[in-house]
Amino acid sequence: MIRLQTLAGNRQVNALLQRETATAVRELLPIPYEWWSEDEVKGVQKELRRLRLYSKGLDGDFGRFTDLGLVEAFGGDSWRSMEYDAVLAALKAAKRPVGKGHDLRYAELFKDGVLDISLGMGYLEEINPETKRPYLLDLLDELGAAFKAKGYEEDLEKAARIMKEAGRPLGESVFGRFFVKENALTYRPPAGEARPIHVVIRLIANPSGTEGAKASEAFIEGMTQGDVAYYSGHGRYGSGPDFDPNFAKFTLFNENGTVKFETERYEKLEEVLAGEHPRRTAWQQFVWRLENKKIAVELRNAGNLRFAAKNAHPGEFGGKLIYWAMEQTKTGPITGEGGRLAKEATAHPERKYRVLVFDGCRTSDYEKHIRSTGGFDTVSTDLIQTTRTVGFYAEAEAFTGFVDGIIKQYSAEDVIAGMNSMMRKYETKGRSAHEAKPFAGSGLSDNPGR
Amino acid sequence: MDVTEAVAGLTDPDRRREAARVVAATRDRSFLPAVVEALDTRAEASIVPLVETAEALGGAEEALRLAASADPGDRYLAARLIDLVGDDRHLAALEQLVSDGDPSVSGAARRALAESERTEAWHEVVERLVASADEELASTAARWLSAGSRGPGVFTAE
Repeated sequence: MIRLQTLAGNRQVNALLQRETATAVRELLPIPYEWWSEDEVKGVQKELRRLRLYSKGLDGDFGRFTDLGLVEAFGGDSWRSMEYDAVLAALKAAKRPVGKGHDLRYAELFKDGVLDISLGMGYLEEINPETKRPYLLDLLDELGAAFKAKGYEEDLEKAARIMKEAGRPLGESVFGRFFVKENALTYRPPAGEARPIHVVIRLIANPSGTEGAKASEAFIEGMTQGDVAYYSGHGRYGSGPDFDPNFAKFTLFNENGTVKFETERYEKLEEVLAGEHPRRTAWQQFVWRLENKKIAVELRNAGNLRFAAKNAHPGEFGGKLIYWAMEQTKTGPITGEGGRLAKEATAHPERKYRVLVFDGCRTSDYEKHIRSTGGFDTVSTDLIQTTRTVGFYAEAEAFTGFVDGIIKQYSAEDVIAGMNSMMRKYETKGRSAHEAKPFAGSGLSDNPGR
Repeated sequence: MDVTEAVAGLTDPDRRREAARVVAATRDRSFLPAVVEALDTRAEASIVPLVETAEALGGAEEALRLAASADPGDRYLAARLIDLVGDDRHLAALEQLVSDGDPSVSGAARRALAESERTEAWHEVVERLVASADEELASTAARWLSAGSRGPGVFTAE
């Protein structure tokens, strides 16, 4: 250094060192976009706006929405290591999307080459009158056949390999059935290279009623770590998804200790209790029987994912009973700041976006609880939910309609329209008296446009 | 709310009570299948308005008539109506229907019988079923008789 100073002078050496330091820092932190000037960021924002991937102001500030827009433009993170000129050129060459509405954030869903969908089939107490079998068993058979017809194979090992290659190895439990379709779609981001995407569907259900805890854990994994978590089942009076029957049995006793009545259905229990006493409501009679040791209640709610802290339907016997049952087993809410969902979402910062679907009566009650949870705001989570009572027989079709829409990369509105079309055709075997469309989206307005 | 709207409203938790009142006021038994269908819909709502409507429409008497029908669809409806509004008058019909050749009918009838009030007449019927040549039915009936062995309390199912 001294020799150099002698030869070139202090001033020249200092200037050289400053240049070298700047280059060295850039080499140590190879994040080109962090070096973009305000004008350069404005140039990128302008192109993103043209592509409808950015709807904020041209402020030259590289923030969350500029980042999100670039991810969608390039279909992932490839732009992060590109120089400014190359990024801008690719954006300028990209074609503006055609059509109307909003896109789901397909780049986030597809960027690791796999679309993984956790399909949670909630516990259904009903018997299919046509087959005399539990309706849930028929539904699981129907789904298995539908996946096979669409080219999926049930293969746990293949699913595990694909997920591992995507950097998201399956958890320890691997509860559920895994259906795989390799190269199910080709993803063509506007400014990035086209590439094939595999689809893995994890079917989570507990038809025996005895594995509720495993099923609910698997669904939490899907909600916090997966691309899509889709629940189909009872809304349980807005309390949350449920993978077991809540109640195994109610037994009412006579004064002399003999059995008066026994049922597995809380609806039936209400009917009987409502007729027992001239001045007590069904709920008051339930409490009276508890206090006077005239009832046996067998709880089974390890499969409850409680979203709501408070009962939104306090005037209804069923709602009161379900919340009472969760209090007995100290089943607390998993939503809200500091709740389990927020903690697990925070533990997986790589998961920046997800789609959640809820198909069931009163699942629209879930929304406010989900939105109050860290990591589930409208930018990081799109919701599709039923907004009215839904009948049987369209569960499998609504789900396959959803998957078809995603594979074809329809706009979010068209994905939902496809699901509603399936409901119109199949709900209550095409005899539904409802005119209103059941599925609606939430959180879509801040998505990329078309 | 007109009757058409009311029939649709039977499946809607928010409209069921009012809808049931409108349907009940018709006193028209042809609406009984719609009441049963609402019972089978994936709606989380009280079934008490449906019970009251089925009673107002003469569901108890209609169930006795339908139970003797040659049409399995009628017999299924009978079993479902007994589940809703049945009492000891329907035990003889249920005793027949639990062995019905149509599985949907026998399934619905078994459920209705299992969840009927356990009167003296109920015990007589079920004790006869325990002696049935149909082993599955006999063991099911025996299970009904053994209910409540743990006594009162709140338990977590194993």
